[in-house]
Amino acid sequence: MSDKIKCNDFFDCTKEDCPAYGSENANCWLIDDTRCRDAGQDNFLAKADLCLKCPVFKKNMDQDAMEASCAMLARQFTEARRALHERDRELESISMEMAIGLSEVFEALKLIAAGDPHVRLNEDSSLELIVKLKQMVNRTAENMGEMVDMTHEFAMGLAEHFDVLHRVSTGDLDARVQGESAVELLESFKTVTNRMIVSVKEEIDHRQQVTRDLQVSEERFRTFAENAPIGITIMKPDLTFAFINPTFTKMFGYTRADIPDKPTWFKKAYPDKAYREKAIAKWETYRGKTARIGEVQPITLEVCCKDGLKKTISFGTVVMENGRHFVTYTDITRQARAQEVLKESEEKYRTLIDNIQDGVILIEKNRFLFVNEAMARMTGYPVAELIGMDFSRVIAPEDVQVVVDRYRRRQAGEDVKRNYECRLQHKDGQTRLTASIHVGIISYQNRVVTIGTVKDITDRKMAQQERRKMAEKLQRSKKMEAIGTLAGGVAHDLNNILSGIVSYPELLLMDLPDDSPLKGPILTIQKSGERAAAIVQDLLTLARRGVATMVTVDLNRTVTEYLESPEFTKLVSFHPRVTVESRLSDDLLNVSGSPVHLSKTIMNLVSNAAEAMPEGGKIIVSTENRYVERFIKGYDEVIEGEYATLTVSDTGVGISPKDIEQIFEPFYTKKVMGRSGTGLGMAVVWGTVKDHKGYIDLRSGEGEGTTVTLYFPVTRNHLPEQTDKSSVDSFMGNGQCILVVDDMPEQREIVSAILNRLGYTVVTISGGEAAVDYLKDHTVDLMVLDMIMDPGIDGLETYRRVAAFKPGQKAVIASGFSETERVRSLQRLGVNEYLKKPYTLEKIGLAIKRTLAD
Amino acid sequence: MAVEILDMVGMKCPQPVLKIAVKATEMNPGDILEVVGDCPTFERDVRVWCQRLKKTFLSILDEGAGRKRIQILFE
Repeated sequence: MSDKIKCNDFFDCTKEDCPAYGSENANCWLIDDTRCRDAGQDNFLAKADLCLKCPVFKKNMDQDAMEASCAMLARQFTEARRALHERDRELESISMEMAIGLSEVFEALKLIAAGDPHVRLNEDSSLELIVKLKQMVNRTAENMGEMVDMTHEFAMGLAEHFDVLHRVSTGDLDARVQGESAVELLESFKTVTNRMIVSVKEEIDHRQQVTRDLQVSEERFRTFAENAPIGITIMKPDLTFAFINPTFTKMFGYTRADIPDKPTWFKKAYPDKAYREKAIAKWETYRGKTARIGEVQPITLEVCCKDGLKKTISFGTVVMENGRHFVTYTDITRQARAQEVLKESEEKYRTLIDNIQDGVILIEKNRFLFVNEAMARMTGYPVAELIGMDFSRVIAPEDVQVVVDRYRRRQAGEDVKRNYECRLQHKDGQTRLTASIHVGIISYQNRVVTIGTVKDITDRKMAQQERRKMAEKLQRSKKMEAIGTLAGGVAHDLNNILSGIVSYPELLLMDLPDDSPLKGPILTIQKSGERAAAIVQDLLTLARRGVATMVTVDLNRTVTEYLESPEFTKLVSFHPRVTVESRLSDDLLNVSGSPVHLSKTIMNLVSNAAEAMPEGGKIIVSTENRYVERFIKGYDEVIEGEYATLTVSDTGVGISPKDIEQIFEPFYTKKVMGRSGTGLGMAVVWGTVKDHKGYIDLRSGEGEGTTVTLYFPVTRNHLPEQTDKSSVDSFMGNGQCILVVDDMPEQREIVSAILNRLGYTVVTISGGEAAVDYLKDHTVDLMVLDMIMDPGIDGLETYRRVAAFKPGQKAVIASGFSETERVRSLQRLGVNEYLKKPYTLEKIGLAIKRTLAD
Repeated sequence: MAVEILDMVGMKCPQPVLKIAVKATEMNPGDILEVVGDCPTFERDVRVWCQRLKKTFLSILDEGAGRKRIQILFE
């Protein structure tokens, strides 16, 4: 035994739980459950193969060992065969179980496949596989059942919804999804569907209501449209007529068959091509305005009816929401014609009112409601300004109270004078017009207003006054002439008679001794004769009218000589409380006349003035040069020209208007009889002035004194002794060229003569425009420019135009008036010399000299 | 009154019910719809459908082999 080896030693095995590890005989392969090399221990054949190849087995092999090994192999083989038999039986049993189980599963799956979800298998089986398969089949069937149930649930729900929706679609709006479901989606579906049906139902109900309302409305419209007094059409967007009411057909004669569409209507309604194009253009113009829905823009056109008759139609178009045009047709032919007639009538009325010469006014509440052009012209206000203006503004202030009072009383219902005259005030505030007013109260547009006509009678009134004055003057003149002739005749005879009374006393006195008692009475006869002769001389003055000897007279000298005469001294002695002052113009121009008569005139005026002041006072005797540029209205009418005036004014009792009328009549006297006055004094004054081609201006009022101004035409003839050679030399010219611009030929001649005399070269022109033209081509050293030239531009405007192209042109301005704003305007332009007419050689000479020297 | 026949043999649920639902829209009151089917749940499905949609489950005839003939009355 000693050559045998232990397997654990040989293999350095440390597996102590191996049965061979502690075996003494070392026959490891014979021992069951050895752990040798771990592999193949459970496999008899593998283990035997392992042992037969094991080095230890080979080492230790001997007979005993062989026997023992064979015995072991026999035993193990037997055990293995038995075990194999048992396994065969077992496998047979499993196969059977498998076949039965699979059969059941197959059947079940077959049913499931057929759609039966209720299949269930007995899950008992000896085979776990079968058990598992059955369980799976059952789970599948259950799941399928749930799915089928769910599918059914959906199908049912879907079917019900389908049914309900079908019913709704057929009009059953009361249909509702009723079925309840555990499926949330179906419940929500039901809610939505039912809500939708409710909404649809409400909408349908609403629409039905709207439809019903629309039907009612349409019915109303139809009733209205068919019975409307105006034509109505509805036109579709495609321009065909959807509706034409009976009135339209009645109005025009056209039916829908006649005018199926708009183009046809236009052709028939407006057969004239030009008018049709005009109508279309008008519609096009208005289309923009009517494009907005609901807006109406009426237009008027003339439509040709079916029978050819033409009617004036007012169209009203409304665009409806559906794009249709609702058009109304109103026949306004009668109104249009009436309006045309009215317009013609209004034009006639307007033409009449605006062209009549009398003002026409309507007044309401003190204000002009209407005025015509004539009223505007009369007052100077434009019509627009007058409308709304208080009427009292055009009444002259002196008449406002009366006119306004009458208006107020008339408004209050009083019977007030309807025709009267009053004065109007022009807008310029100066011009006064006399108007004849005729007023009354009328109803105008349901209002109570005052209507009136205003006739400008200024010219008529002036003409009347003029005629009256002329008649008075004529009468006075005739009277004076008649009395003069009578007086002349009487004087001629009396003069012859008086020559004896005046001459013989002088002869008798020469023969009588100084102490003769007859000397006194004869002296009285002589003085009486001389006084009578003086009266006769006055009578002869009146009788000798127009034949007075004319010489050049200096009125200043005549006045001075009178004031130094014994007659004046005597007069003053009679009137000790009267003072006499003379204001004589230094450069007074001469007049042509009779010194004796002029002296007598001065004496008579001064004497009358003294007589007019029994309580004393002041007499002023004055002279001056006056240039009358415009007609002066006074006692006489003084015409334009140059005058030397003699004025005698007093502060006496004045003369009443009645006495003024007669004051120049012979033998008319207010003086105390026997004291003084023959009643011929003022008659002599009148006759003298007339003989001198002069004029008398007499201004007086009772208690306000009297001023008598006598206008004598001037002459430029000089008294030999008045010429002052040395003074003339100081303002002589030196051939300079002077342009004289004056509208009066006499003035141009006078100035021309004076300037020639002073050594100037003179050019004369009669108007401003001509002067401007002249100066465009000529140059002058100085202009003598008349201020007022009528017609044509005045001195200021002339100078302005000249200065425009000849700045700094020297000029002297001349005028018969005092300085005015226009004169001052000229002075601002640089024309500093202002020459007051009438001219004197010295004044004009000095003015020109100064201006040329500047 | 008319009798309409709807053959649904071979159809699996829920096809028969959906077919019936569609067909029902053509039916008038008093009409009878006769349906034939072999789906295992056919009878039950038709009954539930009639109950849900207020139709009358008039009659049922088992023709064997799973085939059933059912009459539905529409009111």
